[in-house]
Amino acid sequence: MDSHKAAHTTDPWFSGLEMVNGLWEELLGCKAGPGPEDSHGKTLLGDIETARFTLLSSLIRPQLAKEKIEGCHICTSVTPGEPQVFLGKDKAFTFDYVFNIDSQQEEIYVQCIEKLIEGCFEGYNATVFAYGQLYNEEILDLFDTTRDIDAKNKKSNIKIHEDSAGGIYTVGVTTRTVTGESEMMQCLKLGALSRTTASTQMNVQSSRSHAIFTIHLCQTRVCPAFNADNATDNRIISESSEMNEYETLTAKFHFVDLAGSERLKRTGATGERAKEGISINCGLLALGNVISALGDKSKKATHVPYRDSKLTRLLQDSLGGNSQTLMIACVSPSDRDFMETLNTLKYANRARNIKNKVMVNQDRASQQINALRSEIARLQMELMEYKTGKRIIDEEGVESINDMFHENAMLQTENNNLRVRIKAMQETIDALRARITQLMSDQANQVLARTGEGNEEISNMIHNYIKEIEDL
Amino acid sequence: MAAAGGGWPAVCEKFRAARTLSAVESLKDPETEPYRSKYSARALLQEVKQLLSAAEEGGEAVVAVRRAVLEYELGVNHTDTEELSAGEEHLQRCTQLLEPHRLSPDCVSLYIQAQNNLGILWSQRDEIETAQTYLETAEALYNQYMKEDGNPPLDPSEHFMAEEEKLTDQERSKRFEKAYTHTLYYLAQVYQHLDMIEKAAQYCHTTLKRQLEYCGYYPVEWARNAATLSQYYLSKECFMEARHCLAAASVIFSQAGQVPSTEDADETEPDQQDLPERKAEIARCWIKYCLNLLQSARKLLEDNIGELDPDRQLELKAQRKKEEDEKEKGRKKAVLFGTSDICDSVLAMEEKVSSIYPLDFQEAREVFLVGQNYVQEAKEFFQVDGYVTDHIEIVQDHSALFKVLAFFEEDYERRCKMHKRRIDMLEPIYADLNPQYYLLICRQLQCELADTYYEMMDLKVAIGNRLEKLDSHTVKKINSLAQFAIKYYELFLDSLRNPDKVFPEKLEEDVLRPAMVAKFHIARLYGKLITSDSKKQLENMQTSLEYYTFLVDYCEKYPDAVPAIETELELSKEMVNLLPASMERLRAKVSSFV
Repeated sequence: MDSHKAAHTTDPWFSGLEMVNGLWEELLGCKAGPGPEDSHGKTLLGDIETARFTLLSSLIRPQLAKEKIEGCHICTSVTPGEPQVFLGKDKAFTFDYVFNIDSQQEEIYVQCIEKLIEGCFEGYNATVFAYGQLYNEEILDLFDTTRDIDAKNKKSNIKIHEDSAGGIYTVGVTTRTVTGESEMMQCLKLGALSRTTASTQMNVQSSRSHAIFTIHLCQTRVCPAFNADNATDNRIISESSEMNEYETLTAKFHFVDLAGSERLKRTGATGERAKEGISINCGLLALGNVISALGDKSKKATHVPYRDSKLTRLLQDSLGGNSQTLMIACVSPSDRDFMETLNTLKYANRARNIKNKVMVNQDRASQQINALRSEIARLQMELMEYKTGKRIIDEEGVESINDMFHENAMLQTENNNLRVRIKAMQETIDALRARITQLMSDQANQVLARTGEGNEEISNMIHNYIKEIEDL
Repeated sequence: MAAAGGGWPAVCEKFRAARTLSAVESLKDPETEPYRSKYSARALLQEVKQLLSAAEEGGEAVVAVRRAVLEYELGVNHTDTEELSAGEEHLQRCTQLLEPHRLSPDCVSLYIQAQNNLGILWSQRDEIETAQTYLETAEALYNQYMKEDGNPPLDPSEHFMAEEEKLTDQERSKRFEKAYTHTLYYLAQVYQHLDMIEKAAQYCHTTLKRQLEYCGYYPVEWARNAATLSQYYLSKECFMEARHCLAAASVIFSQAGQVPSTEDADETEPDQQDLPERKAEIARCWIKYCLNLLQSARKLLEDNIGELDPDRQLELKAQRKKEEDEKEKGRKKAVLFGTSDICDSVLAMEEKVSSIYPLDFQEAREVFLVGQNYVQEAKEFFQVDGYVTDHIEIVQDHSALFKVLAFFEEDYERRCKMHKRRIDMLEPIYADLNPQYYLLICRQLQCELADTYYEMMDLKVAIGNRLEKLDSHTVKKINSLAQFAIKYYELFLDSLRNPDKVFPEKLEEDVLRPAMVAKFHIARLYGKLITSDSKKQLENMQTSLEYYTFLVDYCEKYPDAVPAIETELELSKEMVNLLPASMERLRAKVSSFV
């Protein structure tokens, strides 16, 4: 790896890039496995469901010499200027970052890792995942070289311990204090070596394991001029005799290499166990995985004993919340690995959509909303009353009904009464008028009857005339 | 016995050696040569095949079956070594040879196993539908054979055994049933891949049932699987099935460490050391059962504002009498686990808690108490010191149990006391929790505590409204509850601030609704605070207005937030319109004093 040296940063404490190099090497030997949709229930997705990948990148590694010799074609392409990778002709995936075959280590560091490390110096945890698939969950201490090889079937005595104030830590794991970059690199190399030997000596079990390299960062520094309320929970302020304030900042940086199925294939782990990684599980051993995948994982209404993995527990303080999580999905460019690459990209795409658990339970709100609705109705009514002047506030500040309002109301009532009376009188007038018409017509008829032979025609005519006159 | 190289016994010996290589030796193969033993086994099988064609012993049918056995073994061998096409060819040849005799006791087991392996092979090629066809063929053949014949058929390996080595009927039956159990288990997975979840669950259930019937299980693992399956049934609101699974899980679990009833009786169950943890896990599944049963009952009984609807209650009670669990009995038969003695214990276990919806406080309380017992049991193992996350989840369930029980309680004072219990269990764990490590849990607790205080305040207000006049004690109580609710909502909102203590411009999608609801609730709570001091009241109204305004402004700025809080937004808009006028009037009142 030529970029190895060139990529050193000026950071005196440690070079994040070195870490990436470690991952890179791992990834070269082990490209990511198929996505969880092709496997059993115990998927990565289910395991780190509390994580939200704030950053997601896809990394296409260079072709290996072996692949070139064997004549493998490149089946991936990256859209220039876009974080998008094409697999074949028509399968496009978009990530936060995409690094093609020719990407340099430094690019990856600057774009993805640097800000995570800066966050760490401010007291925020970070995690970098290299994607693979989840298998065995035995925890081994890779610093412990005295491990008894014959004891491969015995459980290691490392336990994850959660403490409400102190967080999550492992009991029985070696922690080394390092003071500089080279010491830490030494540790990483030691761990990697131990992991390799572990996988050969301990057969199938550990060759399908994840590796976690955790850096605990602890800083003591002179307090910047913060306001008192600026002290967060992770800053423990202590006062020295010179009245200088010091604060201690802690943060964790996890590098997680998730085991890939490729390694399973290479080691050729056979028999019942091996097939658990394949789409149909051969042994009944994995029945539990199948059953636990039946339920809807997004619901918190049920408890699935299989779900919470040790990995999740170990990393929970670095997943979600204010900590940053980066997931690197490393894929092979060779056409030979098309399906696996597709699955990895599909998986990474789904990881993008992982949501934190829903927190606010809303089932009682209906009642409260109902109460507010009636309050709003009351306020609206009140407002209306003020607008019409029914309510006023007098000089003493006492709210009362306006006198004018009363007077007005009284007048209005009177008005109404008068209106009714007018209407009644009008009706009387109309009735009388009709009566008069009738009488007048009767009278005329009588006169005619007396004078002539009672000419019907004339009588009608006269009646009409009179009516016309009346109307006029 | 005229075959070359030592005759028939030698052929059998080679065959046996091949099988040992494949099943036992291959596990020890080094990483660099992962398939070494498999390849050696293959070579041996090829030799046997050669010898077989030279042999003339036995009739045509017998030779055909033997050849089929070899094709089968070669097929599996090629599949195991990632040579799928070759594997498929061999397995197809095996199937062809057997086709005419597939229902005979000589062939049926082999035929089923060949179909199983073809199913596995096609699933590896991601052609699940094809796999499904093979596996369903195997399933159908089993059923047909059991109907027409039913005698224990020969195990494929017996075709390469001397007469005196042949298996007993019991052993034959065991192996045959095991092959069929695998068929069902593969089908369960196939259905799952095809998103036929109900069918997948049904086949998982049958697999569990058969493991029990044929004593092919580890008690702890079986119990855990059954308990997990119960959670699937819970999500489907099938409480009878869920309870049966849980009762069976508890009964079988109690066998752990007693008799090794596994098919591979030579080894006891591996993870015996985790027994207390496993037990606590099952208890947690029981808690969820009680909680879901109560919550589903509440859903049935509540009216549109979330209170118990007495009409619904009467209706459901009448309905329950009518139905008389006739239907349940039919369903029950289909899922019943175990042989008679196990079954009796399971049924006795079931007696302890109902599987029908509780419809009144008394019934709800019984379910609640069972749940509470399991809370204690689970907490015994999952203690704070060591298992913070698990412990808190259990406490949250306990709190949820109280919450749903309160729904059934008619008396407001007593209801209030139940919520107080929730506060009493949640507040101390929250206080101890370091938010740097448990931020998400802290947020959950902040919201739950705030909601609970809010609820208690509402109850106190309702109690106060029934009084002639609010006494100062009640007023004080209401105000202090509201203040606590505000405090926890504010703590939650503060947890969203960035390292520089600034509240985010744009809220992340996952906290959008919780944050908005918190703002909305705070606004409302300020409106609810009771004070005789008009100035104070004006201040509270002003604060309330600010929070309502936040909602309105935020949604104007980010319209995509609207769907998440539609109702709250609508009400906030109204309040933003109405509050200033109310305040104006209050101000008029205040100023006239001066």
